[in-house]
Amino acid sequence: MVIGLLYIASTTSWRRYESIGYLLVATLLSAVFAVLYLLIAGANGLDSLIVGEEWSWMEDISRSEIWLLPPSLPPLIISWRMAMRMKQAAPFSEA
Amino acid sequence: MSVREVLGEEPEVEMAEERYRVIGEILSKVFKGVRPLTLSDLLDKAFLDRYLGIPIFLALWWALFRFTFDVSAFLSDLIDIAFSRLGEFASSLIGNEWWSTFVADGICGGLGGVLVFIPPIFFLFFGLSLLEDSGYLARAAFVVDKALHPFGLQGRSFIPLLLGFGCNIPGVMAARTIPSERDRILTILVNPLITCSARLPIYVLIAGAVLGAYASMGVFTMYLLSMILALLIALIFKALIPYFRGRRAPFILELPSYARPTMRSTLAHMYERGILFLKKAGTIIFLGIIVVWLLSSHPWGAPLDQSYIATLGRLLEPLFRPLGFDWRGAVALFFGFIAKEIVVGTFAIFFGLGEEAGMGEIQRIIVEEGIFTPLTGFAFMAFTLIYIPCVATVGIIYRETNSIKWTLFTVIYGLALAYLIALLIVTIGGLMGVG
Repeated sequence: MVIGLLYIASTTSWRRYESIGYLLVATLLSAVFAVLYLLIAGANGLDSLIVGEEWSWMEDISRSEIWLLPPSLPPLIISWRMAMRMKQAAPFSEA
Repeated sequence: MSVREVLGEEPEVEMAEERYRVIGEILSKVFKGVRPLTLSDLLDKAFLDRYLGIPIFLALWWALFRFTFDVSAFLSDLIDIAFSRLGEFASSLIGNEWWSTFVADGICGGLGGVLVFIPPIFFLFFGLSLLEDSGYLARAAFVVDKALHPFGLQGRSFIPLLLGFGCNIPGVMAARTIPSERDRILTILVNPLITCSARLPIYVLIAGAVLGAYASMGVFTMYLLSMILALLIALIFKALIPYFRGRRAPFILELPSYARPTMRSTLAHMYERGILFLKKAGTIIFLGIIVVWLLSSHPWGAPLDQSYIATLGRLLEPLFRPLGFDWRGAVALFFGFIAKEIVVGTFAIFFGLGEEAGMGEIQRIIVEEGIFTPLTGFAFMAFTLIYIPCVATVGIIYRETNSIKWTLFTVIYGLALAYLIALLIVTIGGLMGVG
């Protein structure tokens, strides 16, 4: 939900440099949660091995947080490139 | 006349303002035109956003919480199993029964009980170091400062309090990031009121046994009560205890630029902070566990209900009678001082089921023997939430405050508050006709 709100916030300042900040943080959060849930899946697998219980790996890797990262990359790359092109024309400024 | 009276402002605030005035003068002479926006400025647009700042912080906290407790769980299990097997192996080598039980249950069980805390603590400090080295932790404190201000706490108090939901030990240790001693001690004092994950099995056991269809609501109420009490008690301490009274320490924060944390510095930070747990707390926790083992195992060969602990439970029973707890409840609470997880196992031992008994079986006997009614069960849950934190947390509070006075105060106010709240629940519930 927070990631979604960040994307929405980025559209309100679209074509302004501020939107890059929101997009960057949204992607960063997506990456954090994707890596986190991959780590949890791995840890659950190891835990099952240690305690001798069955590991429900399908449940672990089907977490939406893991699959949220790939779709969030294209908008970031596009907006970043766009910003870099705009930066060449006029440097980032608070004015 | 104090420095503050001369300056008309806190010295820290005055110095910061003067420093930035000089910096501004120098920059205006050196640079011309408008200041270019940096990557830090862009990221701050989102991280310090008026509406999204706190949700982002909560999301990152949640990630840190899961990282600390879920990712490290397999290492804790590994340590637990390793020490359990080491105990079995050691006891098989020692002929004398007392020494073999002492080594297996006392030393190996005790040491294992301490060392299982190492993975979450190291993982927590790894995560915190990542956030700190990246420059985000300073922003997080800035974002939540306003919300905590009315309760006498400051922005940096939020992380220790939230971490307390996982375990109060890292919660108390995380208070180190608070530079003001007054705010740090206040944060440490209220941290045990945050319900740690070890208390959840007790809520589930008792609520499942006596609250029936309201079991989930009963457990949720404990979490709600935990948050309300922590903030309320901070407010009361701030108002009543002279040490905490007075002007709030100025919250001056220089926001560093964002940086990519290096693995080397993050690991170094994690090691520096985490190793203190082993060096300082290990001895206290370990000794505490040994003492309780001695009390619960003696007179040697006697069943548990005739041990010194049971005697103590019977001595305590008159105190707990007004709350509706018998000697078994009192002893379970006593064992809970070592670690809250032990409470469920204690009930299992009382019923002759063994520590590995299923929760359903324990709940059935609690109902059959009438140990708790819905009202006294709820009061027991509230008492468990509020009373003395576990021995490990008490040890950490002592080490972090470096004061026996504050440590004893935490234990005593926790007990008094737990008793008061439990008594209120039983009395008001009784007046309302709740069984």
